[in-house]
Amino acid sequence: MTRRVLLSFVLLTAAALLFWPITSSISAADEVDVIVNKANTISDLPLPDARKIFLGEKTTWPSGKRVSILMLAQGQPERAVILREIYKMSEADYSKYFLQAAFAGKVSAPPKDVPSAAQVKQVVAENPGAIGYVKKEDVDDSVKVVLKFP
Amino acid sequence: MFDVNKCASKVAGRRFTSAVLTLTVASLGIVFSAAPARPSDTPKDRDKEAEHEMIQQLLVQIEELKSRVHDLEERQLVPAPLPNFVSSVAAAPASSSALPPAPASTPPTPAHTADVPQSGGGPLGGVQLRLFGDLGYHATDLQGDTNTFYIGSLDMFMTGTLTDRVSVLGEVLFTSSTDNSVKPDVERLLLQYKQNDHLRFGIGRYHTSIGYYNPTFHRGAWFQTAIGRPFMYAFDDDGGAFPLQEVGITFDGRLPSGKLGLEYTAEVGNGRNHLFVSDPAQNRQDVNNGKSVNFALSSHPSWVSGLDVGFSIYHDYLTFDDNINHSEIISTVHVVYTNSTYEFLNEAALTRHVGTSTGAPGIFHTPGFYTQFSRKFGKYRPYFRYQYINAGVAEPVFGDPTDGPVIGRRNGPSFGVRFDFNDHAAWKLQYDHFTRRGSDTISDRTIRTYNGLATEFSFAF
Repeated sequence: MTRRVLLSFVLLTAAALLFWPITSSISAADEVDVIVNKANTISDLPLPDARKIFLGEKTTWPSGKRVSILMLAQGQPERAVILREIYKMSEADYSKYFLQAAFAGKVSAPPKDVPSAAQVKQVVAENPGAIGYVKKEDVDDSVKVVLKFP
Repeated sequence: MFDVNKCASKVAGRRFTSAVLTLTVASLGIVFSAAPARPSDTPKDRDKEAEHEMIQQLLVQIEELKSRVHDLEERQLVPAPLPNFVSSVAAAPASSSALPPAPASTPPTPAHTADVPQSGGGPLGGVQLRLFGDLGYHATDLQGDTNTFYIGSLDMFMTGTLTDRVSVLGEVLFTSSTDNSVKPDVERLLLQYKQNDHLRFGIGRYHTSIGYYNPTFHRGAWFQTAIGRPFMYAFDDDGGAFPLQEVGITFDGRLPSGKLGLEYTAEVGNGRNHLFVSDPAQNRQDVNNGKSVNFALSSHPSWVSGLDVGFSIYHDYLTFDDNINHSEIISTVHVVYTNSTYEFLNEAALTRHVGTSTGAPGIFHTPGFYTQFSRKFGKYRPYFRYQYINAGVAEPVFGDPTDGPVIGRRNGPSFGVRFDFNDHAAWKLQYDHFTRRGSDTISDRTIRTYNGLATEFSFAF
């Protein structure tokens, strides 16, 4: 009996170790690009600045335009990348952060969720202050890439 | 807004409709085809021919209906306009990669009018309404105190954007009093104008930026790890020491400081009312011409994410029934580190009052501090807090029962655990071991040690 339990444990551990790199590599293989409107004067967005913008701490661009943050809806792989790389938060922490920021009067509304990458790109292309993110293969010349992950 | 779940349900609905229609057609077919073949020259044959024609007509109508249902469903599958698009936009180019949650049948986004979501408040953010609340049970062995269930508060928090730069923040609180009544209270009402990240102006009733705890947690019990606020941050209408809510004007913003991440807040308000049995916040009429002034500066260095270091200094003149003015200076300093796992809060304050209760010269200092540490383990977050505040018995503001609640000395540790059911509800259990000198009803030197056990449910949505 003990041997069976041990064998099951070893097999499960081996399976987890075997599949973990594969599942990790799925998200790692897809580059996620942070995009802004082509009229935006910035051409490069350092990570600390990106963090301030996505956290709602920095709300205007150097040109004076208001920042408008677009987040893909929950469950999208790009969103997971942004939460991990920029926010450094889980979904729950992200939700709590903006709830508390609103309660403290720092922001009046959290970033708006957008259902698809196509719509993110569309809104960014049409609005000078918008910032969002899409997969590398979704980028075209209607928007400008200012930061890349990984 | 386009909703995957709605889409899925619509697709399921379409399948269901199609299945019903198909079953109907099949049933009709089976019923009528099951009839045996007969010669066509009898009245029954003529009836059968008529039935056959009717069936054909029904089948045509069913096909038409199916076609119309299909058209309607196709129209409904078109994504709803994103709320608050600023400009009219053309159809989006097709995405080169289909994302997993997006349904394959999603058509290109049509031209529509809506606005861009705004962070930090935009012209189209609309009104956001949030509800917070807490209730619980508290038991103590302090003589004169009773064990009780309680309703904490129901907090209706609203924010609205009026223009690109102007927003309104409102907070109405329904809270229970010691006389068991539940009264509404306009906790905050603030009209804000944001010029840029460096300057935001507000006017109205606000929570003063004294220290870290008050402007961070406000009235939301759900936001706080522990049950109750530290002694030094007990609300003034609950007998606390500091003026934590005022009416006046505020300025705040970020200072160009690079990686230091400096933020400032400056406030000028009516100060607090220290006339006995009156609302501490002077909502309508200031009892004197002196205005309170508060300045706070904090740093959020980018090289240590989660670190917050800062100080605040507050000054006001308090006027009592006897028309004696007392200068008040409240200085605080804080070092806080928080991330999704750890929470380490440290704050200290020193309150300075000038003049005795009879108006004679004198200076009185009241120190206070607390430290709180917690670590998250999954849904559990055990925590520890030690707190201390000590106002002298001769203190003209905190030690005179004829002028308001006596602060006295309060100190001791608290241990507890918080369990988060989900992202919107939490349960807490806390044990307190406190020592206290002075009470709300009598200024004395008797020291009492007591234990408390409290549990609280809090929510936010």
